[in-house]
Amino acid sequence: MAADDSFERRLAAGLRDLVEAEPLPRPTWSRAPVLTARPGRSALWLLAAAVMVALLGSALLVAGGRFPFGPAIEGPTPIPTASPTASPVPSTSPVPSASTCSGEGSLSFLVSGLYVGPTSVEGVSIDDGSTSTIQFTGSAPQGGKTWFGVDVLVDVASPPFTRDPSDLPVTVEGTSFVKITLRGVEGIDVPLHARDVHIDGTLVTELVETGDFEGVQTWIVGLTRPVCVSVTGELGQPSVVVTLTGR
Amino acid sequence: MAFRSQVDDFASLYERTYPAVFRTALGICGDPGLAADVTQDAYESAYRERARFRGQVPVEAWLHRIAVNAALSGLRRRRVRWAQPLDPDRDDRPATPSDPTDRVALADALGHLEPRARAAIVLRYYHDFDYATIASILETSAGNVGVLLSRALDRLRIDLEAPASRPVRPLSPTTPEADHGR
Repeated sequence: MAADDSFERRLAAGLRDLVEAEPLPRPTWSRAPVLTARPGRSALWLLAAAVMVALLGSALLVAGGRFPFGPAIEGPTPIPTASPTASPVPSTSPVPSASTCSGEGSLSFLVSGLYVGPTSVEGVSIDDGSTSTIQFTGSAPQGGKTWFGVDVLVDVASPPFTRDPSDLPVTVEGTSFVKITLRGVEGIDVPLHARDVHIDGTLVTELVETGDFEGVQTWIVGLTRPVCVSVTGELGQPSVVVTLTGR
Repeated sequence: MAFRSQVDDFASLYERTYPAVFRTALGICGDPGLAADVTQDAYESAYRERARFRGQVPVEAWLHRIAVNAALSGLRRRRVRWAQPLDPDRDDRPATPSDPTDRVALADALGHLEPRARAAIVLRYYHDFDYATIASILETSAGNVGVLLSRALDRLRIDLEAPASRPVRPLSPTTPEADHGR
C-alpha cells in the first residue's frame, strides 16, 4: 500500500475522487480512436514517404548516381536487410560499410544487416584531431538466442534536440551535429544521459544519448566542424563503428 | 519475454487498460479533453510499435510509459495550465485548512507541481505502482523517484494543510502541527 500515513491515505482517496469523477465511457476496440479517428494519418505519411522516395530516385538518376544535396557518396553495400526474426550467424566476415559527407543539406543513409547482439550498446570515442571513432558494442547472444539485425541511420542534425519519445529538451555542445539512430537494439536499464560522453576533442565535443525506447537508440554527436561519416560493421560481430572525419 | 503475448490481442488490451491509462493522463493533464487526446496518441503509438514490445515489463507499465510521455509532450505542446492560471502572489485560499480529499483543493494543489512530479504522484497514489515501476515509466532511477515524490508531497502538504491566511504559529515544541502534521 503506497499510502502509509494519514495525509497520504487522504491524498490517495482524493486522487481517486478527482480522476474517477470524469465520466468514462467504456471503450470498445471497434470504436478505438486509433482505428476510427485518424485512419488516414499513417497512410498519408506512407504516401508522403513514397513520393519523397520517388523524387529522390529521379534526382539520383538525373545526377548520375551522385547524391543531389551534397558531395558524392558511396551507396550502402547491398547486404541483407535487418530482420528481427531469427538470423543465423554468418560464417563469412565481409565488412559492410557506407559513408557520406555532411554538406549544407540534410544527408542520410541506412545500413542494414549489421549483426549486433541484442544486448547493451555503448559508445566510446577516440579523437586524434582529425578523425574520431565511435564504437557501439553489444555482446554475442548467449544460450542459443538468435542474432538480430540492427539498422544504423546517420543524419546531419541541428538543434534544438529533444529526448525520444518525451520531447524534453537536450543540450549538446558543438557547432555541427550528427544524429545516429540504432534500430533493433536491446535497451539498457539506466537513465538517459548516464552513458553520455563528454570529450574535449578537437573534432568531437560530446556524445549524448537522446533516446532508448523499445528497441530504438538515438545519439547526438556534437562536433566542432562538419564531417564525413562512415559506418562499418563486421557480420557476426556485435559492434558497429562510426568513423567521423573532419572536413 | 514473459509479457510479450499481452499485446497479441490488442483489442482486449485496449478495452482492459483504457480506463487506467486515461485516468493517468487526466491526473497529469488535469483537462479531460487533453487527456483523451493524449490517451489516443498513446494507444496509437502503442499499436504502431506493438511489435517492438519485448515483454520484459508488464504491458501496463509499457503503456503507462508511453501515456506519461504523451501527456508531458501534450502539456508542452498546448501550454495548458492546470485548471486555471496560478498567480504565486495571490492569497485567496480559504482560512480553514483544505484537505486532500477536497477535489477542488487537490486539483489546485496539483497544479502547483511540475508535470513530472504530478505524474509520479498519480502513478504512486492512484495506481499504487512501486518505485521500480515508476522509475521505468519515468525513465529515471528508483532513488530519483523517491526524491521526486518526497518533494511533491512536501509541496502538497504545504498547499493542502497550511493555507496562506492561517496565522503564523510560533515554532514551539508544544505546537502539535508545527511540522504540518508529520
